[in-house]
Amino acid sequence: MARVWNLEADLRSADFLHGIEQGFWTFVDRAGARVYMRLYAADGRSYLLELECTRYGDEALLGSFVTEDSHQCVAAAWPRGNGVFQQWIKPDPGNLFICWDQDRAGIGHHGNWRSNEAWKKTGNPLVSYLDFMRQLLNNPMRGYERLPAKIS
Amino acid sequence: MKLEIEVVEEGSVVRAATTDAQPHETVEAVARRLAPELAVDVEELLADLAVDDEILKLDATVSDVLKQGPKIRHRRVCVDLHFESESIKHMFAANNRWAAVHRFGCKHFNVASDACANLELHESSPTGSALNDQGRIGLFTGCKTVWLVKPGAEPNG
Repeated sequence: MARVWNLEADLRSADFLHGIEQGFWTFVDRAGARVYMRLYAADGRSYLLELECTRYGDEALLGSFVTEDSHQCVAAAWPRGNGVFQQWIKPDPGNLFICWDQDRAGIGHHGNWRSNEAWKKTGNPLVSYLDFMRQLLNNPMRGYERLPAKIS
Repeated sequence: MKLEIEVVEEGSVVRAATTDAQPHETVEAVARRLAPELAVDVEELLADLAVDDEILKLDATVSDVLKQGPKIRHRRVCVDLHFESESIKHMFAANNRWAAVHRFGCKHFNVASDACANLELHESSPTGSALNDQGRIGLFTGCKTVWLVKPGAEPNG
């Protein structure tokens, strides 16, 4: 029997709520197939992630970091890191994308990832995506560049 | 003025100690004095001191505390911490942060400090939900199983 994917259910799932409770992410907004999440990094900064969820579960999510006010995908909205970090987070203006086998743009760059359908194997593509972003922004081994505290 | 600190585990008082304190003394000073008698590490003790489940400020004075009640409680919860094939059960102050568990685990399991930073705490199993080092451990019953794990490799380009 085919798996029925349900974005609404995953937005209410225990694992999704656990991430909120732990302070890893917060739900910001939803506009149709687009979900906006705030992700918290180890240096106290936060980033706004847009997840385009068309055909949720059947297709991988398309993630991009966007500006707070107008949800523009520009380089300034993206987290930065060292060479390890840039294996996943591609920061070049004009070619910003997340190179991971559970991201639609990453799969677009690596055709061999499509047949593997890694996002379907997690049971909850939304939480799987958010949890990987949590790792990227918090675990030193992933190479995120911790920035000095903002001076207000 | 008599002030008592109780050590509470699993909702029960397991140890207690009383001291004569001056009204202007701070909670921290009293706790430091009673820590040896309570057989609790000073920093752990200071991490959770509460009256009626309300955490006290360490610079609160004895006279301030006595307005709330004559007994301070130090609440401890059990964590069953696993790393690879080893494990240890240990009591932690409920108001402490998960970072304390992370540090304790690395020290106990002899993980080098640079490698320790790359490990994460996960609930229930090595693939369970991650716990935030900056979050509070919190109150719960029983012994919570937590794994200290290194995240796996992820495909990239």
